[in-house]
Amino acid sequence: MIRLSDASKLALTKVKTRKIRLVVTTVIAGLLLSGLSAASFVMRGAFSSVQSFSKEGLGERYIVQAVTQGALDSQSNPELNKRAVAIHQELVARKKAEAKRLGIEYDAATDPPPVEEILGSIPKQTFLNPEHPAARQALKENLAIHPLPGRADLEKLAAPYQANGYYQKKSLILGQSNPILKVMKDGKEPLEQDNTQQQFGPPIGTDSFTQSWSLISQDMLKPFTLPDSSYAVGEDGSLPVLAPYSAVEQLLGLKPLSSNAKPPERLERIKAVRAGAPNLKFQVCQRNSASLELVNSAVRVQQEIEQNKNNKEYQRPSLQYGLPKDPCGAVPIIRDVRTPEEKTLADKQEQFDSLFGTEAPAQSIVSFRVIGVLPEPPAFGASVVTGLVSSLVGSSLGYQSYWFTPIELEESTPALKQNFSGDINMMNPYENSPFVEFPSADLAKQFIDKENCNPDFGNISISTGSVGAPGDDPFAECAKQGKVFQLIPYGSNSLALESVKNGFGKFFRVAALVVAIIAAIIMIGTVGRIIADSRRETAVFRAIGAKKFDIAQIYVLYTIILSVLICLFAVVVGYGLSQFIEGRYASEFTLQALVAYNAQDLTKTFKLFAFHGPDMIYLLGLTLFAGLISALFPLLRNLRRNPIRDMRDEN
Amino acid sequence: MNVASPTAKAREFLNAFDNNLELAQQALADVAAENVSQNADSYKVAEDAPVVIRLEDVSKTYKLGKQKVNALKEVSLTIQQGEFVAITGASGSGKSTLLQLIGGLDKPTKGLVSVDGKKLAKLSDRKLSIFRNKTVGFVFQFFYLQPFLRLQTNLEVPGMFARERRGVRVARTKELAVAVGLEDRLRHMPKELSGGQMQRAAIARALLNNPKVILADEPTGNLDSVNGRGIIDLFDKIRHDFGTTVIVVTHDAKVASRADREIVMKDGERLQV
Repeated sequence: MIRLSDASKLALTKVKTRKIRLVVTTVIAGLLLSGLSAASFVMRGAFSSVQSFSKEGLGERYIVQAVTQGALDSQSNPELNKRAVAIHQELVARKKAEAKRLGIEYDAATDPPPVEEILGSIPKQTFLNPEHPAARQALKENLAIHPLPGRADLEKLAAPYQANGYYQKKSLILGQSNPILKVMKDGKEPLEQDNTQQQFGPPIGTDSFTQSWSLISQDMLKPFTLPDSSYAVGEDGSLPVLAPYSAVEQLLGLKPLSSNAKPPERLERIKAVRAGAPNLKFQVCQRNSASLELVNSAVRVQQEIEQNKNNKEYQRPSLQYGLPKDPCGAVPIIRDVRTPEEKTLADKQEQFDSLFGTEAPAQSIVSFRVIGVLPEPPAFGASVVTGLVSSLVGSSLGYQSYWFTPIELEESTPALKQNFSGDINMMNPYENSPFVEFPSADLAKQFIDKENCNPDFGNISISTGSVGAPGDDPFAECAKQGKVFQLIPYGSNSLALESVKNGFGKFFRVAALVVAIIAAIIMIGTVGRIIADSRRETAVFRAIGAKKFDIAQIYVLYTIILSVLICLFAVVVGYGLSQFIEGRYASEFTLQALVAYNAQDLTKTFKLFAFHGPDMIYLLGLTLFAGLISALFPLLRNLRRNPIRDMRDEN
Repeated sequence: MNVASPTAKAREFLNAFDNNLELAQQALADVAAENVSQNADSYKVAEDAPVVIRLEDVSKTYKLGKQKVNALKEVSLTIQQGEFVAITGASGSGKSTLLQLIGGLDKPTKGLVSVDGKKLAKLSDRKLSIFRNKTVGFVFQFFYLQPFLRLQTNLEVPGMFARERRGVRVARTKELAVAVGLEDRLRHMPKELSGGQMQRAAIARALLNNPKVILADEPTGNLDSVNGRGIIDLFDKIRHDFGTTVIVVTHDAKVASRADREIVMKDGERLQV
């Protein structure tokens, strides 16, 4: 057998023949593989950065939200619907009787039924309106008999998985009977919705307060809390709150940066927001629906008068409310020219309303103190990069702009008790679900894999009074197995990222295999040509004593050299590509990661480049494999040839 | 009036110098060849020299499509060690086939081919390769030097297949380069050599592993008469210096006349001359 060094010497002579073909093959196959090497550099860099950033926020905590099914599921219960209708009918009957007694008019049509028909549905379908008072009453009664799974059930379920923490969250319920909270700007109550901030998507900034003020366990707030902040109610009565970034920016009077703002400018803004946030105070005006209705009426009438100032036939209402004189004050009557009969009728109506639960107008100011800044999802229309980083990485306490106050303060703080101790949130069971924390990703995964309820929605329609057969319950199977929660990773994508990482590894291997097959096809052309061109030389080598194995060794080495060249080209081009991506996007990613993870250390950078040896070895191995496959058939053919004929043919 | 610049004059001088140098080198080569020729004339093979090649009733039939071509018909011959034998004949007479059978590149359809006591028909492909590497040395009409290797490395190639150590190979190539008059060309690439030099290099390559037999297929067919004569002189010198048996297939009567013996082939048969 020829020595390796000598075989290499002879193999190198092959590299010098057919140079153009060699270069073209190297470039084409190399470009194919360069995509993979670039993907490896960029993704491994990103993973490594994510790992570094995930030490921030909830990134290294493995929290699972346990969503209960019961509240929504109750809607498909025909008995519940019947009960809601009965409560409603009873109420309407009482209202009719009371109206008759008081001598006022009452139209039952102003009170819609709790079960409504879905317009256009064939066959006819109905749904129970969970906002309807009768529906709420029926649900309450139902829940008293069949309580929803709660924290105790979760603790029982999670104990075998070494769970080390249980948390709770409560959200404000948006309903007719619940107060509306508006953040006051410059000491004034915004009397109209400010639509200038964002045209699409959920409200951001201070406008998001009413929809997203929540209570959550203090332990979950810790990573987002500013240093030296207290979770206690302040001496001035201010409630501690963690506010979304955009709201703090607004409260600090900073004009939002344009979407084209450069990363350094945005980083400076983050620093400014962080610097201004500690103990930033603001007030919220809280009005119940009756008070809000009076404000709205005052605004509406004022606009009407303005519009009709030149209309001589316009008559102002006999009872006119004015805008509050004090911030968040009561709505004053500024004109009352009602007749005694009208006044009597109004008094009776008030008596009637109060009997049936309509509250008297009430308003108050609640003071807050910022103790943390929460990252929030990118605004509608944000760049792809921003969206990508925020969805892939990041650590937050919610999927929109959230305001959080420690739930531990609820019992001792009337303002919290009043707002949060109402009905359960039937529209969104996610909001009041308990959480459980695990010490490791593996335990959290095991818990989800084994205890998660994966409801089968394939057999159910939106539900109705008529639907409700046991077979239609999407959670019935889960209930049988004792799986009473839908389990969702919460707070960060640490679990999902583990899967993404593993998924990328698998993707990389499969993609590399596919590319290697294509590369092998491309290489067959060149290797085959080189071997065919060298038939005469092979014959001469055979004549001067080369064994078939020696010849095979020379061409195998040639193929290895070609493969290494292709791989080197791929790595160099991939490196260039990854450096381009790093240069183009790294600063943007860094910024988004700083925000998404709420990083305390603002000097951290998000790299989009990392060298991952195993990927490169795999790539080289596959390229070698592709090369050897490409050489196999031409070489076998070549070795079977008669050297005499080859020498003659070429003459 | 045109006055030549100093640069042009220098270039003219250098060109003239180059031409003269080439002429001088050619003259020296011719003198060397003449000396070789004079030395060779004095070499005689001993009558009792051992038989190194023996062919007994060797036939070779090729299939050409559905036709059978009898390339050789019951050829018998013996060649002694140190003999210089010319195989001549018209194209298609079977002389190259005869050479390939002796060189172990092909096997006879019938009969016995024995070289250096080895019966080639019985050897495996691997053993035949070793035989070709160690016992015989091939010289081809078109030289077949590797164009991307320096002459030094080109000469080493048979040693590579013999797993000869590099140090031994280098020493041997230097020795052979002196023998064939190419000691100053070892660092050159084949394209930098003349036809005669390339063929001398091919002969040196064939000699690397000290073969007992040199088999040359039309070695002068691609050379002018001066270089052709030089190559034949070189063969003569080789058998004189190394005792190597030389078998040359040739069309050239002048080459044949220089051999100890001429074997004439016609239609696959050996003519008795």
